[in-house]
Amino acid sequence: MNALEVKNLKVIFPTEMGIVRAVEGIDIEIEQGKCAAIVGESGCGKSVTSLAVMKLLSTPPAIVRVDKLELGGTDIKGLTDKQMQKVRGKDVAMIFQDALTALNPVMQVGKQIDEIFLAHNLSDGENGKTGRVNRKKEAKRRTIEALKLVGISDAELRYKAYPHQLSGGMRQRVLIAMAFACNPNLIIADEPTTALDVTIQAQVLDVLKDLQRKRNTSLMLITHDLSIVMNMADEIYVMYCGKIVERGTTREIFKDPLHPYTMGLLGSIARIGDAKSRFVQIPSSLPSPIHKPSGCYFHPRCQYAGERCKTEMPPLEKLEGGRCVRCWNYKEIKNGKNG
Amino acid sequence: MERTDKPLLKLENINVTFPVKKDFPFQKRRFVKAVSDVSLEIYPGETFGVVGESGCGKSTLANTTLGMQKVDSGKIFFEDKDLTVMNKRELKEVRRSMQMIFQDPFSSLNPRFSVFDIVSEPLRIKGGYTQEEMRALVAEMLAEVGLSEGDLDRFPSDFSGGQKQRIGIARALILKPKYLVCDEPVSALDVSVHAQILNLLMDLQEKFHITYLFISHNLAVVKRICDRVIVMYLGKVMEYGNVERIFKNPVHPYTKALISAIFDTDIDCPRERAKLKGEVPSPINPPAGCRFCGRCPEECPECSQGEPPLVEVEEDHFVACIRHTSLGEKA
Repeated sequence: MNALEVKNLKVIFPTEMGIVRAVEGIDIEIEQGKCAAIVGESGCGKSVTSLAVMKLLSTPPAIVRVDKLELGGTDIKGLTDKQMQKVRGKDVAMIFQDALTALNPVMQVGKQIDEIFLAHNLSDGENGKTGRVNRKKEAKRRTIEALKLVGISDAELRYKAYPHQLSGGMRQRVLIAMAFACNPNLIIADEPTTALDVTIQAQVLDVLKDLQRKRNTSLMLITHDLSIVMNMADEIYVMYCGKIVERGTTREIFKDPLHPYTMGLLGSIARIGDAKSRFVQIPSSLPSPIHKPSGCYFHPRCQYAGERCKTEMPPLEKLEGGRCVRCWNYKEIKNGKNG
Repeated sequence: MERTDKPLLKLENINVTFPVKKDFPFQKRRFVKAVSDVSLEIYPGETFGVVGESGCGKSTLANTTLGMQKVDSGKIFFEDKDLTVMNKRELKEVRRSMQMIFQDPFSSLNPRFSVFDIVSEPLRIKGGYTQEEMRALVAEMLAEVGLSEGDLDRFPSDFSGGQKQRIGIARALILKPKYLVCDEPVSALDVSVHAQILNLLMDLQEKFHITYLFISHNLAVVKRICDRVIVMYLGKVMEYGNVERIFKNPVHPYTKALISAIFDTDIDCPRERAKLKGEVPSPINPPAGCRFCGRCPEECPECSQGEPPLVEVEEDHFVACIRHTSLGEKA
């Protein structure tokens, strides 16, 4: 059973300038206990995808269409907002990019984590006692446990701290503690470490990975940073302009990228072993989301583009082992590289 | 190899402090030591990298090299002229050969100026050009950075992030400077555009023989494009010298930790990562002795006794760590 199954998700934003097709029919499957990464540049629809899965997009303005949306086998496609509230936090949780805006600035961080236990009635007495006071006590005990779990020292003291009193890394840990609080099946992490320094980023990601493995939680990691992906993910979805252009295991994508866009992305990152040299570059820049190119969206930037690429959008071709690629010429490109 | 050429820019024992707002009246004045006792030499034609975590004084150091930051003590020599003793007019003169490109191209270009206005502004300040000459020069410069003459009368809002950064580069290079400060020039841009801008900077350097001061928090990029590098932590130099040597044989525990904190993208050889405990302490009250005390995995009692001096461990490779001999051998 998959922790998350999405079939043919479409998200459209009608704007004054024109219609923005943010997500154009994508399928995602995440196995229980696995980490899938969605990689792409800004505006490719990766964050919108995550919000749509959480059903957090406000409609209107957004128009969301999906054929199948299942969390751990349960259909959440038709759930109302009220019913979704019971699911969020308990079955699926989210870690946001900027911890300072995700946390309430005038509330102690401990109290904010308590809320999750209280909202899902999870603090009803293990010791058989119920009642408001006991529930609050139990919630606090669990919160402190959760804070310790993400490596926050003096958890009792930090419970009473306000977000501004914590450093960036600590705040991100609090968010992780919050996400794991109710032991959800699936956690969506939207650029969890972009706002952090490199050394802190390494610490925070280690905590995340560690907890994910221990609890056998599934993780949907949304990022533009390929180096994080290699160390965290089992499977990678590469998105470009609202479409998935390539899907494969981490090893396949890094060792043997098939889509020219993936190749370009991999070529443009610096590796620590490199000598001083030029980068492989993808020419020009991202197209406007309102006026996407005809045919394959990547063809104006693609060095392998042919006549067919300019007029026809290639299908997402399924190869063996769950590997997918959206390119007319991937075979020729591959043969050309080897030959 | 002994360097025979003279440094283009030389800093000697630079100290910069900023006063901190008082929490309550009558509190003793407190200061942030943004840069303390930094000396370095930048040679003509090289790319000099500055790395460190946020708040370590990278940008302050860059501003100092341009004479934009008042220093508490120390000397800044640009082509043997001391910037700290110059008056405003002399500074203006010198600054023509030093320019800067900024991190965020969205906020560093005036939205009400056309591309021509933006790029020609340095020419107008310098004076002595006719409108036609300026237009020709600007068009020529735009071609160098990969834009076209047709873009002259368009406005910044018509361009993408990468193109805006190109406009910023054109503005910086229009006076043909010798020295260019690049303060995180790609971190606000899309990943697929990073390579374009970095390649452009490298090409322009070769063509116009510009010296770069390149600030970045991405060590892999620094490794790829820089010749020499300075690693800073809480305003102090931790390690300094040739990039190849530092990355091959990092001696300071902080440099080691920084290098190992980068996630590698080579799937065949995952590296063991040395983890740093804790976070960067407040620069108002840095730890006594070595600033890295408290986070250092190799700490010993002597480390908090006094600030370690910068020692040359091999040619063009300096380290500020009292245990450099034993640590260097281990590496």
